[in-house]
Amino acid sequence: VTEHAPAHEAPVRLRVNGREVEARIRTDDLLLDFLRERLGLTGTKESCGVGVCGACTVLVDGRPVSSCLLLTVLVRDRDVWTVEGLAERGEEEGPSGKAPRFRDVRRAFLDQEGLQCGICTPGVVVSAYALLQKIPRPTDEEIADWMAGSLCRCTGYHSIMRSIRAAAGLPPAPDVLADPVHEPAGGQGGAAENGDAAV
Amino acid sequence: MTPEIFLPVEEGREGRIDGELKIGGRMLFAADVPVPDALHAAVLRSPYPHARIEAIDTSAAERLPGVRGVLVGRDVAELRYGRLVRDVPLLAVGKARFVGERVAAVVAETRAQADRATTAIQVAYTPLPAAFEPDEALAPDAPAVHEEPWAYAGALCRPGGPRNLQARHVWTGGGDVEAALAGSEIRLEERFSTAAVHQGYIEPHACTAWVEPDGRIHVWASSKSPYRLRAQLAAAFGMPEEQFDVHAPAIGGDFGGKGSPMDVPLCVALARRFGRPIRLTLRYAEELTAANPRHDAAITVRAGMGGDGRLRAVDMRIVFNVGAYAGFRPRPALHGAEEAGSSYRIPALRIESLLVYTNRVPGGHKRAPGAPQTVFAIESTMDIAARRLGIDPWEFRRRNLLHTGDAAPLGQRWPEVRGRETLAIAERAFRPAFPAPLRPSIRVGRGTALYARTTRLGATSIRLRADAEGHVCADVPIPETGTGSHTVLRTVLARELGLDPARLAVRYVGTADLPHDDGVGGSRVTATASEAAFQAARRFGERARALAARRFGVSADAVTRTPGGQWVDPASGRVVDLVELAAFAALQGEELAVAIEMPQRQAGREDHAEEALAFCVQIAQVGVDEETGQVAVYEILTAHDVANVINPRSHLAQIEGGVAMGLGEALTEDLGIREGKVEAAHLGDYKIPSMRDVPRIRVAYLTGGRGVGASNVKAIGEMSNVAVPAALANAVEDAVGVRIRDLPLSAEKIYFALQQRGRKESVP
Repeated sequence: VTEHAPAHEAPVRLRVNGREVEARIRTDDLLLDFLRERLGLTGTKESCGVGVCGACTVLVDGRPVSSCLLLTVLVRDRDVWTVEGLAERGEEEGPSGKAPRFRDVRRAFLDQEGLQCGICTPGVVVSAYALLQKIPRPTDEEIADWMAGSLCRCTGYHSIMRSIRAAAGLPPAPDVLADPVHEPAGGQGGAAENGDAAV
Repeated sequence: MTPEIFLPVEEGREGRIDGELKIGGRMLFAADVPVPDALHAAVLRSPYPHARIEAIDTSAAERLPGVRGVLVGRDVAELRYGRLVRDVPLLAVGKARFVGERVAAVVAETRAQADRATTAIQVAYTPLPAAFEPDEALAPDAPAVHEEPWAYAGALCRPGGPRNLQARHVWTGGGDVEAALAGSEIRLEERFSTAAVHQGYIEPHACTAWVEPDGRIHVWASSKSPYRLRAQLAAAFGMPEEQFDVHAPAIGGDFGGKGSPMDVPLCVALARRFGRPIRLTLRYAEELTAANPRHDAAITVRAGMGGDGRLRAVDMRIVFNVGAYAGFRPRPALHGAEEAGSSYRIPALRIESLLVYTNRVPGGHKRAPGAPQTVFAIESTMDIAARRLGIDPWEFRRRNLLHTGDAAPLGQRWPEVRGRETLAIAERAFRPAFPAPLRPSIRVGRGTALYARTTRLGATSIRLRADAEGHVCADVPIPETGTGSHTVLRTVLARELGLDPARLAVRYVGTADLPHDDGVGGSRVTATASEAAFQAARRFGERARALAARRFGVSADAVTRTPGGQWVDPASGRVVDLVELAAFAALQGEELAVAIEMPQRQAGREDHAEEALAFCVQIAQVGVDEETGQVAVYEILTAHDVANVINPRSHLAQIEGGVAMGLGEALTEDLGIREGKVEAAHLGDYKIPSMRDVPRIRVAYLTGGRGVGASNVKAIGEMSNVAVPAALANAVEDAVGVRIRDLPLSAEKIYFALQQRGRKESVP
């Protein structure tokens, strides 16, 4: 194959979410399109198309990659996991034993509401899961560095940070916990029920 | 960034109604809806800002594999759409008016085939002189963006009016502004400008259209206003609304941008022409270059103050760049312009808004349309004025803020005005957050800005129905844009019906099923939908009570309801639950169901008693590197005047997400439009904040306010994003003494301003 060879059809075999997949593909097909259109795995989202936003993140041999930049032909014989597959096998033990399982990630994102519209969420949780596999107890710096590859426009990221820390079993930063700011009871304000949401 | 708290996990608390589906990747968005036998569409767009289309040769494209056909402007020349002014063609007719305008559409068996075929279409253009900026477009001899703009349905301009002026609106209140300015001891005249910025939702616009054999047209679209979309489609195609059924899957971010028909009319035209379902999903480059970003604005503020530090007069002229089409806006003016008069006592106020056609990507709605531009100008001016007067900016604002009972400068009398109180809690919550030690070239500063907006109830409808298992399903006409509105509705219904949330479902139903809704917007969804839910729950309760009475053979007022949602006949001790009541109704050929239609309340200018005014005061703390102009934001304190909060988490999420969006508009986001061309055409160049970029956010609440509707709530969705750019501009001046009047506050602008100041200082 020379650099300028036109796209042609080729057979591929790979594993997707633990299952063997065989297909004939065009050599210029993107993994993202293969997953969404050929396999119907629409949990993986298309957004920026240039590998910046992270909405199309999947795991290839355990590493998070942007499937919008990866040719399907390049994942021959590889092991691909999408959000649907991770959610399905969420009950199982993670590979390292100590790292949080996907169900812990899911539980933390539900509890801490690390999502809103949900379009970035599959990429975010896949990426967060990969982070915690690699670094089970990351620092905030490590979380922010890793997750900078997943853009979210709804949350402002604080709830995502809270979710990942909770998934890792990390405590909240204690210094500000006792600092909910609200008008004290009695005067104009005082709805203490809001106090628990104050940061 | 470091999170300060975990939100407590309440025992038995239900999370987001859509959480599991979204986290598992199973929620369907518009691009995910499976449509058998669909063709894919791709669009060829104009490379010229203004050009006559001499000829289009589609023959080569039509011969390519998989291609089923090509549509060009003359095929749909008579069709125009728009939210108010119907000036947007489905495909350019005769000439293209902006870089990125749709010129031809290809349909093919696969998206890749459709994409490839667009490159085989030959278009002969003759470039025409173009107008890019409003001031040049308003010149009498400027190129006309539209030959007869007054001829469009809904047009706001008249023949003989100023060249390219699309709409003008003037608000005045109080005394003669010129006289009051002339009589002011201190006068300012300041000019500001803001960049065109995109909503930055992660989901590009997507739609699918399908024409049934009987002519009924189904649309699946990322639309936040399905009922209005249906009305706009009906108007564009000259068909009855009932012929369209708009299905709205989950929306992957809206922020105002998903409120226009966008490509849906084209998709419908393609489906009618080619007889198969058509799917059209924008590439993100098309989003950035050819959707409907926030309007950039040039703003002049003239302000007069007395020596006592009180405002005497403000005259504001705001010129918005409409771009090539006005149809992405639903109103004659952008709401935010009027809000220049919502916060302060100004004895004489005049606001002039000009909207000017140019050969650029058309502007649309983004979170608080018109407000960040207006507030950037006003709140920067407040700081400049305070400096001139030698008064602390907080004190200056305190002196001038409206009080409860005051008429606002434009005449509104809101039931409650808590600007000073909100400022007070912000001041009390403030504490320095500057890190130490700092590099010697870093100067720190803080800046304050505020914003106020009203909430009023909109029009909507809702239906509740009990099924045989005793579950209650709420059919609603608003799609879930991500804000958590469906979860909030479930909370309200659970409370009012006395039911476990697990027994409640909330689902969007297509436009065929319910009478009407205004769509998501105006920061009114929680207020409006929860009011409708409240009314529906009450009526549902009456209906259930009547059924229970019939079941017991007693009168309705003899029946009581338990907190658990069961119905009791105290005399006999008999109890029925919803399962039994639903079965009882079904046996008699009835349903345990109610529907509510809540019409638009006509709030006149003098009648603001049903509106709630909400304030947001923000204090930003920054460090500016004098060597580079780079701004580091350490913390943004955001204080909110709220009434009842139904769901503290989704409420907080609106605040945090809004601050991050405001941060992007303040520091990094700019479509970079040069000679009509968007240069930041992908998300690598168009920099929206990542997790690395957002600062610590502290939230202070002023609770106990008077809101609207049965749930007594105030606006939150479009509050915390608005004042951030002004707060940061004020903080930058506090830190390094330079005033940036042009958004975004890029390092380059600050650097050059510092250089210029340095040169001035070095002159003996």
